[in-house]
Amino acid sequence: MTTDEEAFRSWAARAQQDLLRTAFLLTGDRHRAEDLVQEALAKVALRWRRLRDGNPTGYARQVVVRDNISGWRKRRREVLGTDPGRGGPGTQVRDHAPATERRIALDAALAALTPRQRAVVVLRYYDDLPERAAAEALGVSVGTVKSQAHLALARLREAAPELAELLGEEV
Amino acid sequence: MTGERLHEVLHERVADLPGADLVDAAWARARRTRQRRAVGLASVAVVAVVAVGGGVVAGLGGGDDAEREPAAPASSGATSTPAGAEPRGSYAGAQVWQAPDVADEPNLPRLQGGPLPAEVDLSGAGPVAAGIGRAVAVFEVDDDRGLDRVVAVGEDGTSYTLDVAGIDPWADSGGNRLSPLSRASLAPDGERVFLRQTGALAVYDFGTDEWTRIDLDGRDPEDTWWATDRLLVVPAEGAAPGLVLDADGTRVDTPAVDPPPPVRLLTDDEPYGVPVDARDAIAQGLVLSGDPSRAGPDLRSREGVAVRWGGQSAVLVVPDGPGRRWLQCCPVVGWLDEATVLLESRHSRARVLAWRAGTEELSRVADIRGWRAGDEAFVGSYAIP
Repeated sequence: MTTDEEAFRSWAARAQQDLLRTAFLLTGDRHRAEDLVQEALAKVALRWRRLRDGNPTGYARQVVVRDNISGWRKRRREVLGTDPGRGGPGTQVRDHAPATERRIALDAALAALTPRQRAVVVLRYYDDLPERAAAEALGVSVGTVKSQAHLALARLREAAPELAELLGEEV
Repeated sequence: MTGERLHEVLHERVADLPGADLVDAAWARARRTRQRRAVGLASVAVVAVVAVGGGVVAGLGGGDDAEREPAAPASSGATSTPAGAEPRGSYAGAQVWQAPDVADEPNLPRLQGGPLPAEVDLSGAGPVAAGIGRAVAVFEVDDDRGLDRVVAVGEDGTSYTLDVAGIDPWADSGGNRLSPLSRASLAPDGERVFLRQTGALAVYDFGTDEWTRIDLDGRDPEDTWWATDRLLVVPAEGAAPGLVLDADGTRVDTPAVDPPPPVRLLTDDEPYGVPVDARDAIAQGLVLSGDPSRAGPDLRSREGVAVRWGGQSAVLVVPDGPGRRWLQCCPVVGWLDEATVLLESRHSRARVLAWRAGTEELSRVADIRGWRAGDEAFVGSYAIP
């Protein structure tokens, strides 16, 4: 095993779960999330010598976010053919435990966003990235992040009033 | 406070997400891609040779098991438009997209993990390129006397200086003084670079730190190109047949072939730079012969970058004009992945940009510094990927 391979494996073992969680929040689909993360890890591996002393996790997150948006474009027709508010497995759950209610409401609300809006929400409010870092991950301007965040929060409020109530009126 | 609550709910949502071990699969996938890339450029050249010259495959040594690996899926949406964005219009059937103005380039997001460092230093102040193995790019800087210095960007991102004390000025057959370095000078694997001399080539090996002078029997070296990592082609000239040469100067007994054909969208379009392949896609800088403003009133420039993939094509119209980008501003220099084209944006503060073809997503790859705009000019040759 080479030093590069060891170093990559060590980093990837630490980073993959966080990336998987981000990818799941972006997609709402565990299998799609795993595909995205595997692709991102492979791209990091290809550029490992250049990335190892920099920010491989940031690069991997960028790949996950951008590939998800690109993949969504390819599947656009399929996605538009479903009602995201009714299609997810979580919506079939009849458990009224508060945590489950929040989960159902969150899934439905996230599904109502465009992929880019959803990415902004995940990067800003899950990964806690500053606006500029979120813009770099998405390949857009800071202004776009701001406007998309505003639209996303408004849409969340509209799509899931119960979530807005839970989170406070400002959302 | 609101953001904190949303943060909590998002974390709660994935707190019990089962783990997965994707590391082995990712490493194996990267290894397959490396193997494929190692033979990919040679295979592309062989395909072109078969189509144009015929019978030269054996001479160029094509074929490799790695090429039969299943292709990795495309990594971007080059065949689709981005969410919320549509092409500005159509030019000769190609999607038309628009690049930002020069003033907006500094605001483009910075590409992470690209093949070039964030800043390429052409000042010649870097260490000597002795035994660096390979270069990802080589630049020649000319002043009003011709070649002044040559800089090689190593895999480690350092801008090295090449010792060109033994390199003579060079003029083409018409007496026009041209750069010894051409855009086609760096070999696909980045291990060698040729400089054009009168009736000869000077080939530098980045691994051995040695120059080899190859006499061309009086032929003009202007349009020399690398058909593979080691094989040079000097095109036919008049009645004189072309030459195929090994990098050590040995003649290879096989017909010379043409490089990939230039990319045009209309017959009178003027491609420049070199066409750059990536699997079934090809891209090249282009001066449009038609009027792109028909596609959109804001599209006043005829400078562009054209991409063809599958049965589709797209063009990125690049604003030009006095004080902005130069004529023939934007030669294509490589592909970041199967859908992202790298191009120079040539102006007084030149850069390499990445364009995700079929979208208006651009990012900043490298700033090219260390040269004096107005007093000096540079030409670059790249080995990306």
